[in-house]
Amino acid sequence: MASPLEQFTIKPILDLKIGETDISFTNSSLWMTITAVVLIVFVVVGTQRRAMVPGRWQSAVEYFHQVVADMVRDNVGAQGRRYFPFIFSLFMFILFGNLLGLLPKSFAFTSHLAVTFAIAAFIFVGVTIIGIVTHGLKFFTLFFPHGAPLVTAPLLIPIEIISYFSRPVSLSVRLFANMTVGHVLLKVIAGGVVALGSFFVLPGLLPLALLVAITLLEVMIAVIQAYVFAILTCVYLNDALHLH
Amino acid sequence: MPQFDTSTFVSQIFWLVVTFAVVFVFISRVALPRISATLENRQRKIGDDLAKAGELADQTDEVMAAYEARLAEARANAHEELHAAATRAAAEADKQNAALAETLAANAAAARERIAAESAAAAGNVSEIAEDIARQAVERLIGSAPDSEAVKSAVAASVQDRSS
Repeated sequence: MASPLEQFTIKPILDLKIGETDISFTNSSLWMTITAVVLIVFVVVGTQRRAMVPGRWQSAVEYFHQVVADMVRDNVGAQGRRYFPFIFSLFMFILFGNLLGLLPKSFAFTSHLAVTFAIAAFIFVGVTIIGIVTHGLKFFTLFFPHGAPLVTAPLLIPIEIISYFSRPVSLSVRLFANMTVGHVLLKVIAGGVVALGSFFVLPGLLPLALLVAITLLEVMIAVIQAYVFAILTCVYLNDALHLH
Repeated sequence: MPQFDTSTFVSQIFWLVVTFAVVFVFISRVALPRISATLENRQRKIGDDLAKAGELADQTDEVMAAYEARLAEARANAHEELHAAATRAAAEADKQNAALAETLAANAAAARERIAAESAAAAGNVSEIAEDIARQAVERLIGSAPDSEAVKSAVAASVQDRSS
């Protein structure tokens, strides 16, 4: 039986190079493209009729819009409106990537640390720049909690700095780990179904039932992790815009 | 673990940037303006409809108030007319009563007069009869007719005596 980690292998489909750098179109790139196309079709076709009374498709798009709009409003406030298009795109892209990655034979590009870390690092750098542009040097008071006794500064400031710089790590590892573990779990249990079911039909039903349950759980995790990623982005943005 | 194969990192990040950039452009330039426009239109339509409903409700109130006023006026008119009619009828009845009372009084007076005349006549007759009876009684007692003048005065004196 193939290793449960084999599903994460990146296989080139089309070899491409810019100079010495390898930018081959891979199965990961293919599923990013599929995600992008499905997502664009979903939002563009869904909003085409601009009906006063929305149909099912338009309602679905408006529902996602509402969810993210509420998230941005509740966590960032009115100033977050400028960043709404980015957060909405981010949430939808991760959500669709996670969900499409659950299809059999597909590839979950969000189960790769390089991808999640690239997104998290972009957010980290972006939020830091927004903070410095908005508050200038005052932005660095973020590293010292307001109202704490000055004596605690030598202890608190390093802790705050470490916690600030661990943000992109925790943000990216959370998504990557959740997706990887989920897919490994599915693969292992699916292997159990085959192994047990090939001997006796009845014992194979138990891991099959478990597989169905875990699949549902993974769908839930796919949605929750996209939501968590987006909401943490909002929280970081709020810190940068309003300090503490 | 394939996730830590650094040789694939650049390609992954490159395609991530490309695909996400395309998604971002479509969402921010096409989808979101459409959604905002739709939501705004819907909000405006709801606002307009509510305003129109409020206007219509106001109109209904106005019509209702006018109707109430008309009704009150009509009721007042009817009341007045009824009152006038009652007054007229009472006056008419009073007049007729008065006329009737007058007639009755006249009739009563005439009747009283007639009674008085008749009782006077009757009184006259009574003295004549009394004189007659007295004359005959005297004639039977003494055998000759008394002087009629003497009988008359005697009867009158007797009547005078009785009636006093």
